[in-house]
Parts: sequence; structure tokens; C-alpha cells
Amino acid sequence: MKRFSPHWTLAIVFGASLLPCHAEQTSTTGAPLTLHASEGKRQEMIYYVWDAGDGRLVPTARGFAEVVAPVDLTWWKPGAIQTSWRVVGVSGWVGDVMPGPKVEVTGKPAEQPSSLVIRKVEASPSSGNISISPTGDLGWNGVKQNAEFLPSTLTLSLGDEGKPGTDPSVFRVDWLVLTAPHGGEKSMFPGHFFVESAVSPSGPWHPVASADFPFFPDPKDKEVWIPLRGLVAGALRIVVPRGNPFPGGGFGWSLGSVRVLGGAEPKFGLVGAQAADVAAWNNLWLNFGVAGNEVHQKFDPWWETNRPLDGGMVCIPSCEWLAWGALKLSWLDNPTLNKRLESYIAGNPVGPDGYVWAAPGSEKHLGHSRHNDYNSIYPMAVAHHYLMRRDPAFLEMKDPTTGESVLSKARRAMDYQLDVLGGREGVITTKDPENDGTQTSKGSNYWDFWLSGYKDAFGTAFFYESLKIMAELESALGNESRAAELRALRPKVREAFNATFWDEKAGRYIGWIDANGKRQDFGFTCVNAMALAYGLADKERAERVLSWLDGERTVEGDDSTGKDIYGLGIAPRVNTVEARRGTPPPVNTWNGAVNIEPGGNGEFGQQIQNGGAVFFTSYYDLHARQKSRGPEGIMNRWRGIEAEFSKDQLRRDPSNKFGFCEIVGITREFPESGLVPYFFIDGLMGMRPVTKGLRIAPQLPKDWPSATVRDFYFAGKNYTITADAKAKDPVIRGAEITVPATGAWLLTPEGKVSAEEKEAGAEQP
Amino acid sequence: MKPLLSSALLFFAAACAAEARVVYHETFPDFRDPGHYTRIAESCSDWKILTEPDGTRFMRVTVAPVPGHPRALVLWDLVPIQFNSFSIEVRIKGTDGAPVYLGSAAMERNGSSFVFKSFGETGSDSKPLPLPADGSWARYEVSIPADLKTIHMEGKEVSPFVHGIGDALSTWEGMDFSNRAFTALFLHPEVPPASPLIGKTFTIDFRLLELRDVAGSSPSQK
Repeated sequence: MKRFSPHWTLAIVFGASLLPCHAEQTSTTGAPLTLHASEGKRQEMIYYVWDAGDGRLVPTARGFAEVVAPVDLTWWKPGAIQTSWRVVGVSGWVGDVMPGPKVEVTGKPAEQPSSLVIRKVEASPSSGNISISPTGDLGWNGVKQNAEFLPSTLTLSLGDEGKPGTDPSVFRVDWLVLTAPHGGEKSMFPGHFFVESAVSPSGPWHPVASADFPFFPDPKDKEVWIPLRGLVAGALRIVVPRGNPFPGGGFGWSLGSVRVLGGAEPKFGLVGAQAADVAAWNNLWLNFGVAGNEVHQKFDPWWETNRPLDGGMVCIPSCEWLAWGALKLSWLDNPTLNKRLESYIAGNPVGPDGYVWAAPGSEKHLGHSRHNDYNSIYPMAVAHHYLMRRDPAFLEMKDPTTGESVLSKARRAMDYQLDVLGGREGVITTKDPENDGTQTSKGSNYWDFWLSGYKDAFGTAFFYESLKIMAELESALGNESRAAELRALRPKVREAFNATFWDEKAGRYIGWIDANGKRQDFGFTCVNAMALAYGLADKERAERVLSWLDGERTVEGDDSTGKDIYGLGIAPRVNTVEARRGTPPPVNTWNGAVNIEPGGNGEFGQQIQNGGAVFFTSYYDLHARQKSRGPEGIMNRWRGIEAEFSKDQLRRDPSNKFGFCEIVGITREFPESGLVPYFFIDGLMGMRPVTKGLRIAPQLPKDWPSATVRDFYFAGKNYTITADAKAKDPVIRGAEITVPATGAWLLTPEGKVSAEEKEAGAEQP
Repeated sequence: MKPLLSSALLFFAAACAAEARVVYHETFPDFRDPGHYTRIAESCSDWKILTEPDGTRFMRVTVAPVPGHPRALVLWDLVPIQFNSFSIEVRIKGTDGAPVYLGSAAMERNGSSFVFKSFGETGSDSKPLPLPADGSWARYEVSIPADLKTIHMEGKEVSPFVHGIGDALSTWEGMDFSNRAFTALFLHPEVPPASPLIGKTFTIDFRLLELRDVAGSSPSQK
């Protein structure tokens, strides 16, 4: 959790990979090659403009100068290429052209990304009709204004004219290609521009964080290729906040040509959905899943970025995030990301007693408190990652310090839950005084503001889920007796969870019971959503929880009720009872730094963990609703999320009245925000790795009769998987698989699909 | 630190400005949410973006000073950027002639904070002037290092006016200002502790924040 956190764990576990610029490199046509540059001296942010050596200039996003910055370049024709780069500081200085590597591109000529139709081009201020040829050449005199700092725009409506009365279409966009005006009018290419996207040309417009280029050098006769990395949009807009001075007076800019490359099907496809839905699922993933078009100040998506450029990030290499990181990354055919995740899993210490550490060199979260839920998180990360990729070498990866294998560590972590944390009795119980949930303790899980511990509902919910996925792993490895042992515990945990944490009067689950027997209930929404999502609640209790969350039922003593519970839009407030109501408040004020009284910096609604909201809760919330109410049960909540996303793509971190941005947790050190679009995979598509393969059990709302996930990596192969209400039986065409939208199906590691066989006595997944 | 038209230095500043490269120019355009890069705190109670009849957009901040908190804070979060002068236009309303002062500071990327002379302060022995109370726009302009009062860095307070008093204080003589990037700009409207505005509210408008880099001050310019 955040905000009381210096840049702690990252600094401990990270070693920036300073890759040298090799003098000569080889590449294959159509495949990206990663090259590196570093200016190294300046304090301010910079970006690089790479000359790909074939007439293209490819700019990077902004980042710190002292960091080695990667760029992915692709060539489509074979030959010898001499690359070069230059650096641009955001205050306007431009470095010398530096030689990059020579690249020998081999292979047959490959096809470049295709061009999307630009059906309409409009300028603001208006300059009349702007013609555009099939090759992108603009018939346009450009913008000319009297003042330098008058913004102007060029709007591109994408795709063929839609049918009247239908929603505008959205498209996958990979590149925006611009050239200077023909005829060598040097000063007319915009010196400062950025790119925005929208579902339709009427907006709302959202900046592409990685595509903002102050003081862009004159490209002369080169094409400027701006990477947009699978952004889904119906319109693009080039915004120029500052015109170039003209020798004869006035300020303005122009372009010679504009092309938009892309048009492939988006990663997440939805038949019957509105364009805004398709854009939201895909761009939520782009922003918060892979953080593709974000600014990474260290040129690394595993690091956070400070305001005002804060956005999504991939993961944090601390145990707190490893299971969520596995959910986000294991299904991607991205060796770089996955090797890195695997190295963090392999390097995360598990102590001699079986307790899982926060990170290498750090037994405790922030060096402050043990989080015993790491013992659930670690085996969940290992099991999910293996079952998704089926690479035995991962399980045998050695801890660089102890030499112990990943599998061995996961098993010992599970043993610790069972034998030390009371798992065999059904409830995770921590007796360490630092984690006993009392006023003198320090907290035991992600919610590090709250002194949760002793009998902990959050930790027990994680434990329940870890039993399930570890049983799948053990079974897949042929260890059936262990799998059976773990599976057999689940009903006991479920029963104990309900007996221990259910509050009949409030109609919801409490957070924890401390070592003195005190029951702590502050209306913890995430704990309740998780309990429902993991199947810990029966239908009656699930409905009572949801009626409370939806504000249809008021719990006596709650401070947030009715519509206020979702008042922040992105997710329910973390708690519905103010922390100060506790006698005494069971919270960690970090030596008084957080004041939870009215007017204080941590008063209800001014602090993320006290009346604020964290976006990832919506992942569990959606699952909770789907599990309890079926496919249609998610739609109201999805509509709320999509409405918030359409405002600003959730690039928000509002300040509280004390100047601290601590009201919501979406950007920066919240990579778990990417779990929300992951619901498309394990919620809508119902895809989860199990012992025998990939279980596909779609749960599609009636308005979305067909859904598709593309480039889904499972057991060494990429698939396009569709759930279709019209399909009667599974169909396999190469790597394209279609299953009926009802029922449960199994894709085996060998690539075969069949109806899931229910084994006698097996638990419903 | 200079009230508009108050000093002969203005001419010099204007001459310098003519050679400066504008690296940031704030117009509060409708395509950017100011909430993404500005914050208010301390005795500020509200802010909004408004438009003048001529189309100029500005930020109106409501200030509600209370006993013990006579100072407000308006903060710009900056993409780490190099500049060595800045200016902003400021207008107060609703003060009934009671003095309101304006100070500023900038946070450097390495954590140091630069505290600048307040509006109206022209030298080491001059005092801040109140902002004009007649509802007109005033221009506040700062140059680095000329208008620096103090630098807080590495636990020390560095001042140009104090020499050799122990290890904690030193001068920035010889300090290289050419490669320093700033991550935030702090503007501090403030009323005196006994101001009649304590317990009341007034507004302060901001427009045309401009960060500049004087040509030639940065190495490797092309």
C-alpha cells in the first residue's frame, strides 16, 4: 500500500540494467530490435529521437537523462542500416547527432503495418476543408496565428464513414506518421506537439502520455513515426500548444502528410458492445496493464513516475505484488517482462522458518512490519505463473542466495501457512505481538494503515485462494496426495471464515479479530469483495454484502452510506466507518504523521485508506458481482467504471486539501490497477489455469454475445480465443479457438479443446 | 519579486527576457486538467479556472486565512525542467485594501528547495511590498540566482548574506546553477498575523506563468 512509503523496496531489489550500445547488431525483418541511448548528464527530463536509418525518425517518451533509455525499432526490408540518435531536453536544448549501432537486417521483405483510412481531417482554428490523399498527403496551408501560445489542433477521424445512427467505430492504432510540409519549409513542422486520442472526434480527448514532444527538432525530409502501441481510438488529435515563429511575423505550423498505421483487431474484442466499452477495456489494459504509452521516468515500466506525469506501471518487485503481477503478465508472450517477473519470484527470500520476506534484504514491508499474507501471495504467484506457461524450468529456478528452487520455496511458504499461521484450523492467525491486531501491533497486510492481525480476514481470504491454485499445481506435478490435502482444507476454511468474520447484525465481514478478542469492523469493502469473489460467501450473505455496498441497505454506525459509498466512482470507499470511531482507532498514524481527526490530513475522505478508494478493489468487486448475480450482475458497476475512465482515462491523482495526493490509488505505485481490465480474461472469458490446462468458462452479459482475447499465451503458444453465444461446439482453426459462451471448456497444453469433465467430488472452480 | 513598473531593473529584466527561451507557458488550456499539475493547500479553500472577456484564462484561488495559518500555497508540479527565471501575473480581490504578500520557492529534483525574494523585494535589505489592492494585475518576476534568498539543501540553509557562521551556513558563491532541474514551484500568498483578513476570504488570480531559460546558460545548447 502507498503513501507512507519512501522508495524503499524498489531501491532494495532493483538493479537498473545498463545495457551497452553495441556497435553492430542484427535484426530480422518485421521483428523489433531494442536499442539503447543515454545522454547521462542533465538533470531535467529528456527524450530521444532515433533515426532508424531508413528515412524514419522514432521519438521515445520522456524520462530522466541519466538512465539508459530503450527504443524498439523494426525494419521491414533487409539490408545494412546505420542508426543514430539525438537527445532533446524539455527546456529546449538539443544534443548532437550521436551514432547508434549499425544493424544488419536479414530476412525476406515484410509487410509494414497497414494504413487506416482517415475519413476526415479538421483543423482548429478552422482553415476550411482539408483534403487528404490516399497516401496521407495533406492539402492544407497550415495554421497561422498572431500569438505564439495559442493552441491549435488537427483532428483525424478514423475509419470509413459509419452507418447513420450507429456508434462510431474504434480501431487499434500502432503508429502516427507525420512529415514536414513538402518543399522544405523548415519552420513549419510543429516545434512542440502532443497526441491525444478519443473514441469519437467529439471527444472527450485524452493525452497519450508518451507522445508529448516539446522542442521537436526539424525532421526535414524524414518521416516522424510516433509509437502508439495498440491504442484503441476512433479519432486522434495533434495538439500544438505553441506555434513556430514565421520570419515575416505570426506563428503557426503545418504538415506535409499524416498517416495512421494499424487496423488490426484490438486485444480485447466485444461484439455488441459500444465503441466506448471496447476502447475502455483495451485502453485500461494499455495504460494500467502493460503501461505501454506511459511516461516512465526511469525508462522502465517497473518504476513509478512522479506527478504530473504519473500513470500506470507494470508491477513492483516486492512480494506484495507478485501474485497480481503473475495475473497481469503470465498470459503475455513477452519474454522480457516474464523473465523479469520470474527473476523476482526466484529472488524473493523465504526464510528458514518458511516466512516469505517482502523483498531481498527486507523481511518486513517498508522495513516496518511483517505481512503474513506474503505466504499466500508467493505460492499463488508461483502456481499461477507455472500453470499458465507450463515451463518446468521456472519451478527449478534457484534462489540466488540459497540455491533453493522456486517450487521448494512455494511449498515451504504453504507449509508455513498450514503449520505456523493456523491454516489447518481454517483461519490465518498471527500470534507475533507485532501482528496481533492490537493497538501495539503494526499491521499484517497490504492495508498498512490498519493494524489488522491475529485473526485476519484479508489474509484468510488469500489463504483460501492459495489453497486452490496450489492444489492445481501439485496435481499438475503429479503430487495428488498433497493436492487432495489442500483441497480438503478449503471447505473447512470457508466454514471457519464465515464463523469467524461474519457479522450478522451488520450483514458483512469484519476485518480482523485482535489477540484480545476485539472484533474490528470499519466497513472494509475490499475484504468483503474478496470474500465474495473467492466464493467464501453463500448467496444470502453475498446479497447482504452487495446490498450494503450498493447503498440499498444502511448499516448502523456507518459514516458513508447510500451513493456515497461509490462516491469516488472508481471503486467503493475503502471503509465506510471513519477510522476515528475506533476506541481507540486501530490504525498506524506513523508516529503522528497521519491525523485522522476532522481537519487532519488523514480525516475521512482525505486519505486513501480512510474513506478514499483504490481502483484495484473493482477487480474483486466485479468478480463478487459476477459470482453472486451472474453475468448481468457486473454491468452497473462496469458502467460506472467506464464512465469514470471516459473522463480522463483515470489519469488522476487528486490532491487533498493539504496538498497531498492521497485520496485515490490508481496511478504510480498501484500497478494492481491493471487487474481491473484483467477481469476481461478471468471474469468475462472465465479463463483460469487449472491442472489439466486452461479452463474457459465464459460469463458474457446478454448485450455482449461474443468476446475475444487475442495474443493469449498459454503453455508456449499464442491463441486467439473467442467465446460466442452462437457457437454450439468448440472450433479450432490453427491458433484460433472458439468456444460456446456457456458451459466450461478446457484447452489442454497440447492445444486440444473439450468440454470440462467434472470429476466426482471436485469443487466447482 | 518586482512589482510591475516599480524598478529600473525592470528594463534590464525585459532586456534579458528578450534573450530567454520560454520553456513553459501556462495558459490553462481546456485540453489539460489543471488538477493534474497544480495543487492548493494551507489556507487555500478552493480554486477554479475562469476566462477574462478577452479570452485569457486564469486560475482563481480562494484564500481563507485563519489564526495560525495566514499563508496559502499554490503549487505547480513540473516535469523536471531547467529554468533560471520565471514570472507570473497576480491579481487580488476582496481584500478591502488589507495587505497581501506573495512569496515563492522552487523544489529541485535532488530535494533542495530554493526560496526566492517576495514580491517587491529588490535587495538584501529591502522589504516585500504588498500586492496592488486596486484589482489590477501585477507581475512577479524572479531570476536565479539573483533573486534567491535561501537554499535548503542536504539539511543546511545556504544564504548569500551569511558567511562562515559554523558549518550549517555557507554561501552559494561559486555554485553552479547551470544544470538544475525543478520539479515544483510554490507560490505563497500570505497576510500578516494580525491582518483584518484573518477569518475572512479573498481571492487571488494567477495567469501567464512563464518559465524561461536565459540563452547560453545551459550547456550543450544547439
